Formats: sequence, C-alpha cells, structure tokens
Amino acid sequence: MNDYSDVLYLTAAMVIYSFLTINTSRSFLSTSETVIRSDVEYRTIIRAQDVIEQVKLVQRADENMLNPNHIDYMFAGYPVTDRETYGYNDEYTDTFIIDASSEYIDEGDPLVRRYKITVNVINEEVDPSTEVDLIFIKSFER
Amino acid sequence: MNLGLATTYIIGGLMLLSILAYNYSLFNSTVETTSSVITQSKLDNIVSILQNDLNRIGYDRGNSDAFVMAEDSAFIFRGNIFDNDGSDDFDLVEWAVTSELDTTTTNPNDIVLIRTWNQTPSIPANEIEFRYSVRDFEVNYYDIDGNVSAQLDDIVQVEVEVLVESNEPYLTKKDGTELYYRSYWKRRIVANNLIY
Repeated sequence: MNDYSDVLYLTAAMVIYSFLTINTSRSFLSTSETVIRSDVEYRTIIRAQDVIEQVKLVQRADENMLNPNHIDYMFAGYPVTDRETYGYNDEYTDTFIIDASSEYIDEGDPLVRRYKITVNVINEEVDPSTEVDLIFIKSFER
Repeated sequence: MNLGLATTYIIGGLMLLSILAYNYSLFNSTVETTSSVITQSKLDNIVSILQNDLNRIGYDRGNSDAFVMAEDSAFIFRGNIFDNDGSDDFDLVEWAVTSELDTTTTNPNDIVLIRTWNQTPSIPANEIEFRYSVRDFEVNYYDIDGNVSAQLDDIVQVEVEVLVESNEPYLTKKDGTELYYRSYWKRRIVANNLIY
C-alpha cells in the first residue's frame, strides 16, 4: 500500500511541476510575442507617418489633391499593398496594406480650408495583424 | 539490484534531465528577451535624436544652404537644433557611418555611426561627437516630387534606414553561428524648413 501512495505522490508532484513549467513557458512566449509585435507596430506607425509626410508636401495650388471628387485626388488608387524589403542584404520583407482618405472640414471660414486626412495601415506579418490609424489636419490659407 | 531503487533512479534521472532542459530553455528565452529590449532601446535612442535633427534641417539657417553634403552614408546640414540654447545662429550637424568596426561590443557586425554636432560652426573645436553602434545606416534624398535628388538645393525629403543588432548574441548554435537580435527603422521625413 505504501508503494502505491508513493506513486500517487510522485504523479501529483509531476502534474504540479508540469503545470508550473507550462505556465512559465507560456509567460515567456507571451513576452517574446509582445517584443516582436512592438517592433512590427513600430514599423507600421512609420508607414502611416510616411503617408502624412507626403500630405505635408501638398501646396496650396494643389489643394485638389485632397478633394475626393477631383481627378487629381492623391488617394484615388488606395488601398495599396506595399512590400518593403530591408536589412543589410535586404533579407527581410514587410507587407503593408495602406489605406488613406481625405475629407473636407466645412468650418464656414472664408480664410481657411481644412481637410481631415485619415491613414490606416495594416501589417499582416503577425497574427493577429497590427493596425494603425493616424489622423492629420491639413490647412490651406486662402 | 533492487527494482524499486532502479525505478527511483530512472524517474529521478528523467526529472533531473527535464529540469535541466527547462532551465536551459528559460535561460535562452530570458537572454533573447533582454537582448531584444536592449536593442530596441538602443535603436530608439538613435531614432529620437535623428528625428529631432531631421525635422530641424534648414531651420534658422539664414541665407546659407541647408545641406553641406549629402551622400548615402553621410550627410551634413545646417539648422538650429535646439531653441533657446544660447546660440543665435544655426548649428552644423553631421551624421556619418564609417566602415570602422565597433570594438566596444562583441558583435563583429557592428560598425560606428558618428553624429558630430557643433553649435558654433565658426569654432571647429566646439564639436561634440556622439558614437553609436549600428549594423547598417543608409540615407536617400528626394526632391518635392519624390524623385531621387542629385542637387543639394532640391532636397526636400530625406529617407533614413537604420538597422541595429544586439551587442551580444542571444543564441550560439552548435556549428558556432551566433544569432543577434535585430531592430530596424526606416522613415522618409519631409523637412518642414525646406518646403517653402
């Protein structure tokens, strides 16, 4: 009888030990995933910022580039998929789905025209995918 | 030999092996996580200074040209880096990556990126040099239409790519290959003071 109780004690100890190791491993895996995701999010935000940088370049004479109803609308072809290679030998690749739109903000001010630019970038390199939304207000003085 | 004793040794041995393997795995995981956080922080330090500098290109430069030199591995520009810093005129800033290996880290791929900053360009002795270890650093220049710019005066957009690796390997394979954690940043910045 004593032998059987030893076996039971050992089994219980192994089960507890297994639970502990599994939970600790899960915790470490979660930490690693967080670190990787933060790197991916970092790059996703940069892509959204890049689009806004291009909006900053729009001059007053080219205001139509932000008018969704105009032929010169700069986001007419969006969303676009962009693959970016990087690394010392371009050994890595990131795929971004970039969407952007512009909306006129009617403030009734005859001196200033403002547009709300919304940029949405999705990076599907990680599961679940990383998504970033940035909003930028572009103003033109009349 | 007593069957019970032999069984105990076998089970105990398996448990010991399992604990050692688990300990090894945890150790590697800890090293990798720590390396990655340190590497991200290292990149973040460089990027914070770089972004501040890039947004200040040409600011408060008077009639002088914004760029003194612009190459794919280095650039020199004029701009007031900090307001109210006691310096009335522009600063001169250079970012340049060298082929010199960085001996301050054990990573054999690390090269030295140097930021030279002079608040009083008329006195070269006042230069302050900052050194960073990076894996790669590349710069591209574009005009207002997004075309690659060959003329310094036409540069409006600056695209910078920085790749850093951890100072220490997070894993050494059986064949001796050392794996380093990598962190990467690439951004095209429109320098506000060059648009108008």
